Amino acid sequence: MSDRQPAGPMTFEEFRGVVAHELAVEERLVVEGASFEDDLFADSIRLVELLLRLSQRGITIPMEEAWSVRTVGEAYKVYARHAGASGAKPGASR
Amino acid sequence: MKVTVIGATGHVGTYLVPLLVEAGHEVTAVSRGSREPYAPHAAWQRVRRVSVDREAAEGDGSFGRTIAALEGEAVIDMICFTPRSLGLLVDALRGRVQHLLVCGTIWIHGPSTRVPLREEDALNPFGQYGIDKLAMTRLAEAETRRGGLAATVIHPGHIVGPGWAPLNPEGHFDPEVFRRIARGEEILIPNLGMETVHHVHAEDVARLFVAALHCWSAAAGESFHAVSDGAVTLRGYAEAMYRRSGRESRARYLGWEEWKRRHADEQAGAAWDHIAHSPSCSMEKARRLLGFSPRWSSLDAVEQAVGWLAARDYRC
Repeated sequence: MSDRQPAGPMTFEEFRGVVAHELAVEERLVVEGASFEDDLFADSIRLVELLLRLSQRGITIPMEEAWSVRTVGEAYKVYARHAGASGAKPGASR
Repeated sequence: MKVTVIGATGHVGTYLVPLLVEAGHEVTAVSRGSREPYAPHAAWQRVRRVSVDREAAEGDGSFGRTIAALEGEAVIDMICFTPRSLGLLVDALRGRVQHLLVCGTIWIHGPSTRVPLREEDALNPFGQYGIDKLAMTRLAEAETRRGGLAATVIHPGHIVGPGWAPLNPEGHFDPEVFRRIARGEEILIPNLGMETVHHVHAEDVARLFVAALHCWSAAAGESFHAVSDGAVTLRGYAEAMYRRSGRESRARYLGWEEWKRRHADEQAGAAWDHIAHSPSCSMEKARRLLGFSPRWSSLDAVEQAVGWLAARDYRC
């Protein structure tokens, strides 16, 4: 997976692929309801690293919202809102 | 320079604020209430005092804005405990502050592997406190690296000074242990007493913050241990404290399970946390990059704190 900035807002399928890659977990575990902490075993260190790596890819999740996010679906909604992809829905694929 | 200190009346702030004033800085001291510092100092009369409840202010989103509005050119945050808190503060201060200095902990290392530990050595924290402080450190490093707000994290050991109970040779904070030592009575040390603790005088932590503030180019994006020149084993610590009390050592050694059975949960939890980490950290990086050396040895720092305790009949 490249570190290029995405050309447009990512679909949820693309987003979960990036999250799976950055957290080094199986993509099948990265579902809408998956909890970063309980299901993907991401402590605050891994969440900070995930935020930083997403940011390097041009995927911005603002700090003031990042720490209230619990699940992959919530993270995607925050991302989508700020990326102007509010029409994209978790579960939708390209 | 205008410097804002958050958590200004705590253990380190008690020394830090006077040092900053004496160095010619214009200091704004932020604290939750009107609590006085642990030791009085005339310099506090030249400090602007501001009362902010961080938890409440973070809750309504006003904390970062409030700190930014104080217009410090540098901000020293002694009471930041989560990456969320740090992230919110960094977002509010980016582009408005030259340097953010944050208090971390040597617990970011987790259990010691090689000793003395250097800042770049094993970072495998356990427990929420150490994990969150390492996450904060990562955030601070990345923020500086990408050209945002220049940040420095100072990682103290067990902070000691007159005004509160120091970590004792049993590995917890019950001041009664020091009373027993002073009377030449028995204390109980876990295992063989070969696990280590690493104290630091609050004044040395404060001096290191000032050194980092004054060496912006060397400190930006870096983190530094803040400990005495050498850790002590619990055995060495106990024997030295008996000796300094003019007593023969009556330290007795018990295997962990037996030791735990004889102590309250609070003491056992604290002792386990300390011996499981067994810190022994290097100060070489601060010496090399900032020209900083601690003035207080572990034992001298503890002795001063115990003198304060003894004058109060070992009650905090």
